[in-house]
Amino acid sequence: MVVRFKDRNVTGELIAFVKKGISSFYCIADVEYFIGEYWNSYLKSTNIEGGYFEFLKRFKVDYYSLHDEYQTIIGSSDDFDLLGNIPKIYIDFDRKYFASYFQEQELELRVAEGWKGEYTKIGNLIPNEFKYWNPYTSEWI
Amino acid sequence: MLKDTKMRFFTTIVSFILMTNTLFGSDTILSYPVKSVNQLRKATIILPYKTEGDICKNKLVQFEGNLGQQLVDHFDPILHNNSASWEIDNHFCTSVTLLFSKVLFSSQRDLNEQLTFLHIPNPKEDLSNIELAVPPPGDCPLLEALAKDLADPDIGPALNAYLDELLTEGSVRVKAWKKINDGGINDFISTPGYIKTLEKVAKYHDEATAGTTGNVKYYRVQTQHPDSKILKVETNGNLTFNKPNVSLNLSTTTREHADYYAAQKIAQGNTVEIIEFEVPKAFDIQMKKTAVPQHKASQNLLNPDGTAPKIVDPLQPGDPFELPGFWNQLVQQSYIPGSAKIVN
Repeated sequence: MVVRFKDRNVTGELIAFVKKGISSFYCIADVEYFIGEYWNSYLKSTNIEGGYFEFLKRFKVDYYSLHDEYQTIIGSSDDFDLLGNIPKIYIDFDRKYFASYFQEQELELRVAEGWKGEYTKIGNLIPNEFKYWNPYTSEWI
Repeated sequence: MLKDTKMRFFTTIVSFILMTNTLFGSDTILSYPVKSVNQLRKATIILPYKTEGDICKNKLVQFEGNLGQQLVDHFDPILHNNSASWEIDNHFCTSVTLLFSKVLFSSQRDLNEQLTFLHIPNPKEDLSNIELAVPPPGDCPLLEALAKDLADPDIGPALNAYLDELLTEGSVRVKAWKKINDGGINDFISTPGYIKTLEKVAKYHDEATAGTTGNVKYYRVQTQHPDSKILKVETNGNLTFNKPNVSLNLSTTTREHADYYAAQKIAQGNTVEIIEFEVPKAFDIQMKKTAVPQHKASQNLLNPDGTAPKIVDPLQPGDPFELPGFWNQLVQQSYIPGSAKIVN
């Protein structure tokens, strides 16, 4: 997937960091793919934790692509570009934990059964080595 | 039975042929003692249900409700087709299967076929015990799909309750259900917001038929987060669209959703502003007419180019939508200049 951050639809397509076991990746997908109530409908099996982690790989974006693209906007004064292209979603399939910092819809209230959803900043949940936006910092991350 | 119905103004007799294994399967004959199709507005709605009870077992059974305007709109063109209707004893007659399937079975015109007239006087009570009779495959896709909905153990009781509620209100909003069905997202029925979405689509149809003049108020809740500031209210009441290419989440028609969402955001520690502005009602009608459920919106057959507004958060109060960039720009072009203000 080719990533272009400048003037991206940051409120229609969300950047998410997802992890399961020792595997993790970034993906970019329409908002509805992060509504946990719907995850079952994309799967043939009832194993959400394994199945949806694999399903999201179709939206996978390479870390280096994100890093290189972010460096092209890091001098911008456009908050939509700078902050809109920071991950808004964090999904831990082992802990059944879903975090959202999306301002437009309450995705954290629509998690899959047995999951915990939370509205919180995402940046600190992601390991430093995967923070593609470094060295940019903001109180909103 | 036909004589009885003559005494009932604006009502319809519904008669059902016994379920047989004829070439064309069973059919339902709808007749009413009126000459104007407009009187169908108060006609009886019929669906080919059968019950598991002793009396009605293995027979199609009628129940009654009132036709809504949308159903009239659906039937009207078919009823005006001479090949699809006929007159007997001053009764205008047509085939229910025909109405739904738009396929003419000429042999079904013979009213000498065996008819049975079973009547459920109180559909509200009897709905809980009914089972949809499955029509012959391919003959009646709309009813087949409805049968499938009702057969789903996760949705059957809820959908029956929905029909029950609509019957109580006096109309069956078949067109709302049809729109959802036409989207081709078959498993939407299993999601928590299915029934609420049906209700909302029906409501939007009602709003559209109520008239196209005047303005409608839209609301947007923005937090202090910089990338929430998609709109800005200027001192002259105009709006500045800071990012016309991004998706724009709006609450429509009333403040109900905006107030709810603002309260939620405040409870999370945010500060919020509620922006109110007006759009022409014709715009509002078109937006809602084009909208599809958010669930699998990109795969919805009514959203081929991916620009359709999305009906979001159906279980929340009010009427929130997510408008893709295309519609964000249409809002910019269509809103009433000078109407914008911050109302919290």
